[in-house]
Amino acid sequence: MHPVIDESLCKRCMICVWVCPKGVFEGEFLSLLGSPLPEVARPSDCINWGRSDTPCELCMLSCPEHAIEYVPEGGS
Amino acid sequence: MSFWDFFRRERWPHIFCPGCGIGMVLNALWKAFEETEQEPEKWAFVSGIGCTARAPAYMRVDSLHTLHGRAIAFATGLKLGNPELNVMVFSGDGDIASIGGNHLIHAARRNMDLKVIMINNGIYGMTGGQLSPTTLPGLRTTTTPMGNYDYTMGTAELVAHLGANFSARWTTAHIVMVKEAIKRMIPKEGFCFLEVVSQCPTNFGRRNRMEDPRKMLQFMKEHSVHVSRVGQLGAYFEEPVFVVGTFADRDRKGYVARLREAGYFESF
Amino acid sequence: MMTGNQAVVEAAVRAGCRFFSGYPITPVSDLMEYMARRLAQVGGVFIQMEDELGAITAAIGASWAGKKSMTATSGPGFSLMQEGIGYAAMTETPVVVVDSQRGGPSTGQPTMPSQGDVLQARYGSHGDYPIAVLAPSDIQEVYDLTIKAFNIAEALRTPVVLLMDAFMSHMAEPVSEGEYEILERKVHPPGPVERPYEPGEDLVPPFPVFGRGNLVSVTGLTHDEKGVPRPEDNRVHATLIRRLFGKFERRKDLLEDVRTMGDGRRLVIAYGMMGRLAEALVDRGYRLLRPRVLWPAPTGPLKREMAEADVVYVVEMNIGKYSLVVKRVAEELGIEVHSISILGGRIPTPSELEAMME
Repeated sequence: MHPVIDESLCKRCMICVWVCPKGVFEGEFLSLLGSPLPEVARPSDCINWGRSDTPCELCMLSCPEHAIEYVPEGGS
Repeated sequence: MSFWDFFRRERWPHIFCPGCGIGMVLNALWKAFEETEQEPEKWAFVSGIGCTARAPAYMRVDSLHTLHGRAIAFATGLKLGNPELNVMVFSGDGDIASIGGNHLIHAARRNMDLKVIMINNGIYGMTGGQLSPTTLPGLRTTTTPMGNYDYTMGTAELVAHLGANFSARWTTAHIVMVKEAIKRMIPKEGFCFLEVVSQCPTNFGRRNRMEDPRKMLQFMKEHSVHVSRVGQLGAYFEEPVFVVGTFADRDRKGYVARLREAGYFESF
Repeated sequence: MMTGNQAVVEAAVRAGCRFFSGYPITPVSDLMEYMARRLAQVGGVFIQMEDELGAITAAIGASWAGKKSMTATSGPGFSLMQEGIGYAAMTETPVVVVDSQRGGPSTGQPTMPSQGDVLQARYGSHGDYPIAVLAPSDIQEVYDLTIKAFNIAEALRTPVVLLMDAFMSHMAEPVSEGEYEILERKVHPPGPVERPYEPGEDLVPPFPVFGRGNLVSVTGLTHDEKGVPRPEDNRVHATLIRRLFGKFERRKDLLEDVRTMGDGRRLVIAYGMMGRLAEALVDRGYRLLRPRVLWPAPTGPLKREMAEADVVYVVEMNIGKYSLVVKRVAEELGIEVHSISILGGRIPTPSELEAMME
């Protein structure tokens, strides 16, 4: 499993970039008024990669918009 | 129970600012409910006024959005009116600890059968960033523009000292511990209190060079110390320190049980 | 034989009240004490809260759990409860608030009667909202009107104020507990409710008791029919407020309640303790109009009775508050209205009252 970001819910706060222990996300914070969408830059570095369960849910739990969910590899 | 079973998708996205910690706590709350198989119809949420207090309206539950400071008193009546209901108060630091202080003190003293999650962002966010009793020393707010000279309130410690069955503090930088603390509270009777220190990037962060929400999370992480490493009181009196951990975990009889023993509730 | 405070308790229990939250205050501390005992006897629940803010809000919370609930206080506590009363009006929560008036303002005269809160009972909270205010004149009426207060609260989904005073709270008279119609709130059946504030013909939405899966979000913010907060929509707010007032306009059967006695062209208007005193003037050639429901103001009966009068006296234990209501109605009829204002709490004799009026 790996995370995906729902663009319609993301408020571009970059907390996912900060919280991930593996650096899966990448993003540039410009200001609270607007930043570009963060990216799931390295999904295969995710702790859950290659598993059908999600022992690490830090990004999902930390995203204030619940814009992050986990999908199987190859999904979106 | 999926996230969208518990939350009202039709009212989403919520009004909280980018990077606000409230949404993080909502995730933790949902996950705690999911992992303990809670049924939303058996719960009722009560909140006061403020940003955090707007959260229960996003949940698919019976919720009462009440008056500033009075959530705990409304919740007391709701619980006593139907002791079978699980009642949770979900509100902020200004609401619960400042104007609501008296109700907090007495509900904790009574060991009233309520769960309370107080999201403590150390600020009055909704009204623009005024000082809160929980603002840490030295930090800047709109009513302490020269830096906070006011002394900070240790709410979780106060609740623990009043005899509540559960009192803990964590921060949004410890989101898994927040979830675990909620799970610990759920089956307990009596007064169960969880303070979650959280970030308000808009009305707090911006004035303290921490507009980037990640900077606030980093600040919380770095300034947290576990209760086992300090005395329970005083760490935050002069320095910005978040004492995290569990301050009380007791099994005293809750208020409903005491009322039953006194002879009330028989017709309910 | 019961005192006024006892009569409130017995009538409340009779009406089905099973929750009381209160705070000690003269002259209703013993009302709360009777409740503490009586509710245990009937299997209800009681709590003495930490202050009056807690008392009114806990009573409202219990109403959302489906219980008929009540609180009781006097002037200083009544001032503290105003925010809560406004919340009950806005969220349409049935709750009964007893205000046994004493000399004011401030700490005033804790053990002396007054009628000083008569406008506050109607207009004490901020914003625009309707409310029902009842004023019994003897202990039998305290019993009867307490039951009526619960009926109005449940039928209209509104807070209701029962005005008494410091003497009436402790005066003892015989009370007969006869036959009463007890009204219950309409409730939603179990299961999710999409539009909890959608009203029926009577403009009163069914009540979504918590714990039955109605999954309703209630708020003091102005809201639409789904309960969604819409604070910046002027039409949603105007519609809601007018519906709250509309609920009252449709229930004159419950809300218009006066007693008239005597005849002649000299009309006395009095209520509560003064209504009782003024009855003695009927034998001296005065006509009496005694409202039992003070608010909404009984403009119909006021106009009718004043149309047959040459002069009107409004007798009250305050600076002349209800006379403002009477004067406004009298203006249209061109009749002289005299405000007989009695301050200090000493009840005059009928002769002394007559002398004041002349």
